[in-house]
Amino acid sequence: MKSKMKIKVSRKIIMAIIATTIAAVITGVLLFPVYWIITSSIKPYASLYTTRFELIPRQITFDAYNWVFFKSNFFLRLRNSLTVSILTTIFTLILVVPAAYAFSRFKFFGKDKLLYGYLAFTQFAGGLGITGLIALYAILAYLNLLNSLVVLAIIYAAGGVPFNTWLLKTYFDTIPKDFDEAALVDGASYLDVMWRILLPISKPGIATVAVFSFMGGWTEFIVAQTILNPENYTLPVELYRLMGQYETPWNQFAAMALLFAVPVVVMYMVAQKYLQAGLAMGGVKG
Amino acid sequence: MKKSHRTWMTNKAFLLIMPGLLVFLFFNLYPIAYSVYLAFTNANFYNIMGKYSIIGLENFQKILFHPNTRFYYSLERTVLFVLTSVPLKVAFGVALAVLLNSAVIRGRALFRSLLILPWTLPAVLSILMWRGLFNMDFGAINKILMSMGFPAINWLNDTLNAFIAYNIVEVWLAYPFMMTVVLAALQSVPPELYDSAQIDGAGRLQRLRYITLPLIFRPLWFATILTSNASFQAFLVPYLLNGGGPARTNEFVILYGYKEAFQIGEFGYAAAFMVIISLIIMAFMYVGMKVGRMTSEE
Repeated sequence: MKSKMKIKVSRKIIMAIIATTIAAVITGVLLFPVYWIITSSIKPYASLYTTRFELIPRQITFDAYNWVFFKSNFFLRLRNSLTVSILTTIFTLILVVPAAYAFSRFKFFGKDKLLYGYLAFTQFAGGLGITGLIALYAILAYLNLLNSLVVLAIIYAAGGVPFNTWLLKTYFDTIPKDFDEAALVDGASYLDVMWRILLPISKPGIATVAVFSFMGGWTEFIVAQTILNPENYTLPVELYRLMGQYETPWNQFAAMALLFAVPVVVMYMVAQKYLQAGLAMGGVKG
Repeated sequence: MKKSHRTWMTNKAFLLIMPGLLVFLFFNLYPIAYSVYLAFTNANFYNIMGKYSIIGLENFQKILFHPNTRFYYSLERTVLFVLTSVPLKVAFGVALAVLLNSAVIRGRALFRSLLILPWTLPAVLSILMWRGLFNMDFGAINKILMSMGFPAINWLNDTLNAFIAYNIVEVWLAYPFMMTVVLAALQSVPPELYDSAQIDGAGRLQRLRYITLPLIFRPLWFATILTSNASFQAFLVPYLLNGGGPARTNEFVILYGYKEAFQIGEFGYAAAFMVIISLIIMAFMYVGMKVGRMTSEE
């Protein structure tokens, strides 16, 4: 009896070892590209262009980062990217917060139709992207608004209006109406209610919208490449230029690409708590 | 009194909604409507500032019936990509979710957060990174192949190889989404169901067939519809890997429409092309969602 149990326990351990090893190998293979780009950024130029496969770098150098910081146009691209992303976030909040407040708290004619119109758009939006971009380019050319970082940020904010309004509206819905009704009875204005009561409680929801819109501006490629001229290119477009049009050394590309990804990864980690709370409460309710 | 209060509320609400709505309408809906109009014109890069004219159905005729049209080739290539990449994405996502869901694995939370990494990275970075890995001369993949004694493969400058590379990258980008959806569905299955089924004498396969599959079917279906849509609209993967080449042989529909507009400069023709493609996408999404709702209502 006792030995039978022992066999069962050790079989369980062996199973755990085998399964965990399989999972570790699969994870290793799947994440190899990320490992490779990180190590490439600190390998010397010469070792990249041999045919020998070098899993662990034999020599480490920060030449590529030196190039990014002192010889490339990284800071120009960074400035453009930050401008677009920060403006996108500001425009999004200006457009979305009042609308979400109205959708959550007021009753008015056509409210449901408008909300479902927004929802339908978020479901079909992707396919219409390039379709709309063709005319958008023509319209912007006609209005002489091409090659503007501000216009680009407005386009990003506009594209996010349906999704972000829904997200924040459903978040506001979870806050009891008694709060603002009590304040209204006490003589506060609707603006006071929104500014002093709803916004402070809704930090996770607002943070979610802010992070999403910032990331959207930071990572978008197609519209940026289409409407901007080279001097206004953002980081993603610059990365494509390095890799696609010029034969930039792979270690230099790797270094700039990683610097481009750092804010995204950091933001995910920092905002994860907020994001999850915001999405869980506001996300998929319908 | 009551009524005037309500009108005042309505006005206030519209005032709050208007800025977002107007910006959305101007930058999203108006361009789409305007593109539909451009589809019936001969607009191109040179006359786009206003001197183009309406030419009726000529663009549509050219796309659908002209002997040299690339429409059917591009559509065929795209559908082929959907048919290869979607089963791979689903199979991969399900397999990883099942693996991560098995209780015998240590450190499941760690594996999960590591495996989700491709999802958090910006797509532009990931795809360009893969472009480096696929490089014929110094890419990691060929280095590994050669160190194992295989010949180097010309990944991106060959129609079939590039198509295979697209599939690899697409699967890498999308498996975290599929895995997460399936894993959430698996974890929502109450364990008591398995226990009672086991007591009733159901074997491993029967439990999979009669408990697991029906319970994860609905989320898996919707995720598959969404990821099929993503494959059909693949743009960044072919564009950033090798521009849909070599020699325009791998230009999927969205990429073809984009290039016709912004590289060739044929705005009217490209708009007509994209109108047709948008109709196909909307029909597909509508049917997919309808079927999903019907089967889940049963």
